[in-house]
Amino acid sequence: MREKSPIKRAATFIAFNGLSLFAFFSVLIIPFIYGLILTFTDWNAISDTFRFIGFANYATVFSDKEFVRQFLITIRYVVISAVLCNLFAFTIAYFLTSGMRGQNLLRGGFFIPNLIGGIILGYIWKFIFANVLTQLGKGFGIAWLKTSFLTNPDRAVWAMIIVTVWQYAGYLMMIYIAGFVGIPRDVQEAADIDGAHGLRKLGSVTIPLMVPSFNICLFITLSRCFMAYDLNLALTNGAPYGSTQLAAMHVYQKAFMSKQFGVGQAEAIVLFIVVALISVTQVLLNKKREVEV
Amino acid sequence: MTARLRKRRPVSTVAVFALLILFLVPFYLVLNNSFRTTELFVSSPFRLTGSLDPKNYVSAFQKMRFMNGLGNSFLITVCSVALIMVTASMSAHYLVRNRTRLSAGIFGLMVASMIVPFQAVMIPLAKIYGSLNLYNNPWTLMFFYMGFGQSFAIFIFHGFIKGIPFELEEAALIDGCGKLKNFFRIVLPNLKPVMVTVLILDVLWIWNDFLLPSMVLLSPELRTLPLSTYSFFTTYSVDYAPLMAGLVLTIIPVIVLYLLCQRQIIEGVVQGAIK
Amino acid sequence: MKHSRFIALLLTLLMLSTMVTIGAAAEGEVKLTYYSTSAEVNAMFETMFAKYHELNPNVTVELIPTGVGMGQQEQLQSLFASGNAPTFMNIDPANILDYEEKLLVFDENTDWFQYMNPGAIEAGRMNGKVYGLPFSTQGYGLCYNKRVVESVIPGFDPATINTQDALRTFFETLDAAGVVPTLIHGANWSVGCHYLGLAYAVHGKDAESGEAFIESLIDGTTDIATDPLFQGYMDTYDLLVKYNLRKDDPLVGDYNADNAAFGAGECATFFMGDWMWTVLGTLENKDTEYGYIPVPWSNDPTAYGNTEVVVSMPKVMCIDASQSTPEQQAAALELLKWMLTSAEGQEYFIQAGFSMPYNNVRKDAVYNSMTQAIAGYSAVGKTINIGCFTYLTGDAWAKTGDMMLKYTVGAIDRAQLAQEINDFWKTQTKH
Repeated sequence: MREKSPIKRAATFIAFNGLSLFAFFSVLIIPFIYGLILTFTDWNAISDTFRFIGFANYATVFSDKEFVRQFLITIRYVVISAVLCNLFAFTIAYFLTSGMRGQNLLRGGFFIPNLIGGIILGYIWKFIFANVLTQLGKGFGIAWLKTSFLTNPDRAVWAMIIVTVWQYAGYLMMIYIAGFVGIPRDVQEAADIDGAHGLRKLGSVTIPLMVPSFNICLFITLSRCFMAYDLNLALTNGAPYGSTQLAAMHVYQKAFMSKQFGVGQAEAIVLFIVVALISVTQVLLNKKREVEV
Repeated sequence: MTARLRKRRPVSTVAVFALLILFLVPFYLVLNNSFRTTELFVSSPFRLTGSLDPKNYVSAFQKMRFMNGLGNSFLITVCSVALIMVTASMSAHYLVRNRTRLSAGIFGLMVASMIVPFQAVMIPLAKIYGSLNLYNNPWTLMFFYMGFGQSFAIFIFHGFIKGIPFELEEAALIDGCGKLKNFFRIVLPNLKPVMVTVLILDVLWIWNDFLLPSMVLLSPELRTLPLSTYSFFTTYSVDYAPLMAGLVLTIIPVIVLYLLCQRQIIEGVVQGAIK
Repeated sequence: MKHSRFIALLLTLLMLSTMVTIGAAAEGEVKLTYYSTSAEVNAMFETMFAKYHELNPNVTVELIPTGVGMGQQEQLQSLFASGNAPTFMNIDPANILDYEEKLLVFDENTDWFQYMNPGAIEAGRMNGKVYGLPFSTQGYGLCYNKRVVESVIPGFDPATINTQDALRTFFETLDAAGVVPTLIHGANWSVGCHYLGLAYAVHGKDAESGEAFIESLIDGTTDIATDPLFQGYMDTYDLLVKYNLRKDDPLVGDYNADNAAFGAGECATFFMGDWMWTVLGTLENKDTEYGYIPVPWSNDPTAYGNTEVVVSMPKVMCIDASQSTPEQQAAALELLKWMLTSAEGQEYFIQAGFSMPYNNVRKDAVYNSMTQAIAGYSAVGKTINIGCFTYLTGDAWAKTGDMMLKYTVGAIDRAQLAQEINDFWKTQTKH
């Protein structure tokens, strides 16, 4: 499909990628580079002037104990959410592709949480955790429900995990369903003939063939959870006492509330690099597995 | 075999249905309490509403200037999603079919950009586009969505196009069909299932988005529906009853779209399976 | 052909959208934008602007609300950064510092400033210049529900609560009668800014004393643990924690629920300002008679702070001079004159329950009982000046508020709390 003349080749490239890359570069890459440059300045986001101050902002980032602490909380939240989201979505997708009665209705139903935006959803869940569950706890005398999930540092993280799973499970389920349906029928039939049923078939035939789906889903959950902001803001806003402030929100607070724009921006860059490293490693590892299968 | 499966699984069917009901409790709360007062919602959220008093809906409709918001949301969503789908599918097709180092580089950059925190580009965006006097303009917002939407759409299209056999296109190209024509005639129709997926995901994202429009759209007459719900939020509290009515009104269009496309999503999945 | 139809549709939509883009204002018309940080009264401002447009058809005002899920600060910053600075805005006086170089400096000899109450002009003064004009006086302390308190103590006189011991006895009496004595709103702004702020502000009757105290914390020359005001207010805080309606789950901090509980008489007192009327006043099931008692910090009834409540002008109106045209600035000034000093403009504020610091407000204006109680303290000069709150902007109130919340649930003790507050201030810089 390669053209001979370089001019023609360039013309094809521009015809197919021109608009796409123009938008992508003007909206993401150029502002990102601009932002990167700002991390080497003392700009406060309001003033008309700024000075270049070298790596001072980065030095501040790595001496900011809070950022490190919040990064660890974030990792804990991301790992648990990613595992639970995928486990849950995979299980549901498995049942909903097994020829269950009403499976289309069920597929639609589990997808519904995706129809609402993150912020309003967060406010509704906040109300559920703070009022509805505590009322149930008091009404039925269930001790652990009597106090709000959102007022205990440990349980507040779990509250975020629950809502994350609730929100993303249906989305991931769709991808897994596509994966299940995509497994060639002859492979399944061969497995049936060989006498592989139930869990054995799942383990030795189905799961290896689902690796591409896992790959996409893990990437989506990892990147979304690391970037979680809307939900964090609306559901806990860092409460109780800053213990559930995830990395993305910390960055935001630093840049705007603490008026350390350069430091906040530098933290955003650090966050980006860490997430990029984790995601790339994950994709590469799984790609390898995909090839082996 | 299917029949046997169906008979064998009543327990899991019940379990999955029970799970779904649990899943949808928040929606029951929203729908039910959109007919009650904030006070009643706070004191007894589960009690079934006694009447279908549309008071909150009327108030939400007026306070949100619903028709104005609906028009803006509709226009912005439709244009942005159309722009994303056309440009991203073309780009993804090129990247799959031209396996050069440049293609790999572009694709890598796209994937990496999916994890750029929005906060890292928010103020630079305001600085750049503000100084060009492009703020407070729906076109700018659509362009932003087009830029931000590329990577994920290309990511999805890329994966799908990889699975389409090249022979189909090869035949057309040998017949002397130009590359663009080949794309629109041969490739695009084959992308229908994945198009629906991208459509749904991008519509949901853009329809519900808060941050970007609240940055770009300042004038009241440009506000999208989610922005219009601001009037139910005060600094430290939320007026839940009309907010929930407003929420129901806001998601109705999306639900309609979803119901319309649901069959096609499943169809798309099945088509993908046959190949 | 299918895709041609699709492209036609796309083009039509694009053409439609051009019609939506805003056109330039016609000759002689002035368009102003107003950024509001008082979300609870946005509707009031909008009706006011509509009325003004009726009176002056050449002036239109657009209100830019704080976006949901967006902080007031970062939105204002992005408005300035994007060249869309609002023509005028209401902000916290403390934030003037950030925009000092961009705001209009008001001429103190402007004729209509004579209507301001003595001292009101100080609310918007920063480094000697006036950048903001106040529009409301608000206050806070321990609000009490008259019906509930008088059911236990008939003929209750709030002036009797002038020492810590008096407050303790008061709470014990209520508690013995089966009435929950008090309510702490478990949110960092309430306990961090408003409550802990007392321990800074009561250092003197002027703003400078509180500021000097905070600056000594920044220098590290003062250890807050050795400060009698801090210890005194924390002793009182322990009392509030002990008798708190939300004792079982103190950090819920649900503003609606707390207002509903207080309004319904579930507790006798509530540490909150008279602004709560904007929520509480709209409830169906509520009491209407309230009063205020101070938050005493020692057992000396003559000590400053024991018989005073906080009164402040929490928001000021500012005009942008960096991006707005001289015509817009002049029009905004005219509009402010109408809003703040004309009988017509003031009526909107009165109806919304704002007590305005202007001497030409009609004398028969009737306010809710909370605002009246605060005004009573103002009238006799029994007020606490919270000018030092300029140091509580940014994230200071949130950070120290979070420390107070930790203390509230016993996650840290008082010595640790003092240590954390000391450590926090040391990371701050002086203005």
